[in-house]
Amino acid sequence: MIVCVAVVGHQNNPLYIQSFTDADDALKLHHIVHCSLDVIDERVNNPKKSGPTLNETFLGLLYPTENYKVYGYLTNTKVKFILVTTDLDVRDADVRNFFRRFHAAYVDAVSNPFHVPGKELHKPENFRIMLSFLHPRLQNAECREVKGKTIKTSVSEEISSIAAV
Amino acid sequence: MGREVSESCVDGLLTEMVSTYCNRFYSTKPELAARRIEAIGYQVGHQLSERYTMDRPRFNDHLEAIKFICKDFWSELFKKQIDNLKTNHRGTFVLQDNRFRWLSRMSIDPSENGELSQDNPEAMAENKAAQTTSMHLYFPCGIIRGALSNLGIPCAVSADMSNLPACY
Repeated sequence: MIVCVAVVGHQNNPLYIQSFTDADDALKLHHIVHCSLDVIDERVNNPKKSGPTLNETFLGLLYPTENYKVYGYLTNTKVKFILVTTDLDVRDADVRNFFRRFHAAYVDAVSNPFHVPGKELHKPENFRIMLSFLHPRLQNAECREVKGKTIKTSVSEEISSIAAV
Repeated sequence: MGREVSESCVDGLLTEMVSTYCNRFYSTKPELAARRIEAIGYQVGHQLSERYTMDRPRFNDHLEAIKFICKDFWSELFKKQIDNLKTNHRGTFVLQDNRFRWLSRMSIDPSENGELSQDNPEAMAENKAAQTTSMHLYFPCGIIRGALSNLGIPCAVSADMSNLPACY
């Protein structure tokens, strides 16, 4: 199951961070995301180590922790996407696919003419755009009213089903 | 999948935007109008660059990013590639487009401005035409600047136009 996704701007400013767990471990997930920024920096500045993934947007597995695996993605515009998952055997292709769609959702979100570049993407409408690809029903008007935990649980279910594919 | 935009709509929008800023909002301050138009272009370029670089590997250096602007970005915006790219290898790049699409349908009626100056009506009309056209170039300049800034290259972009499209 995906427990957390984050978008971090080119100055390492958080743009969007969303955890999908019911437990109160947001702080822990934020910590994991924060640590992964250093790993991304290291990957990008020492390309020798990463070998074939040179200049690819998908950075692969950043580091495994006891319970989580952390994946990274760096766009051409130096925006970082971070994915924290509890699945221990994840295929790279799936993660790649996830990031590609997440990137598309991010592009749609920042293409909103009312979005100020470099500002956080936490407003409800952005939230909906970002997650609508994970959960198609969020696009519907009837789901706009759904807030908080309902969205969280339904989205996490949806994501876990995507991750399981 | 890319969504397409009617070209005549874009042309119409550009001319309307320029004329609104120049004649209605800031009719006495052309510099301010230019800055505002450029700022709009900046935001557009910022967002477009994010979209058009989606499926590409990251750029190593500035030249790669400039090449991307010349080839892919230009084709997406103007349906053709840049005709000529020059650089002094110190950070200045000159991009030459021999048939800039957004100006290709623009011309100035010389008789309209002929009465303004009795001495040299032709030169006057040409000057006015150049001025008006250069206002239309601030928007694409802003787009390029926005795209490059988003790719991590803070820069200044200016346009220079040798002559307007004309019958030969």
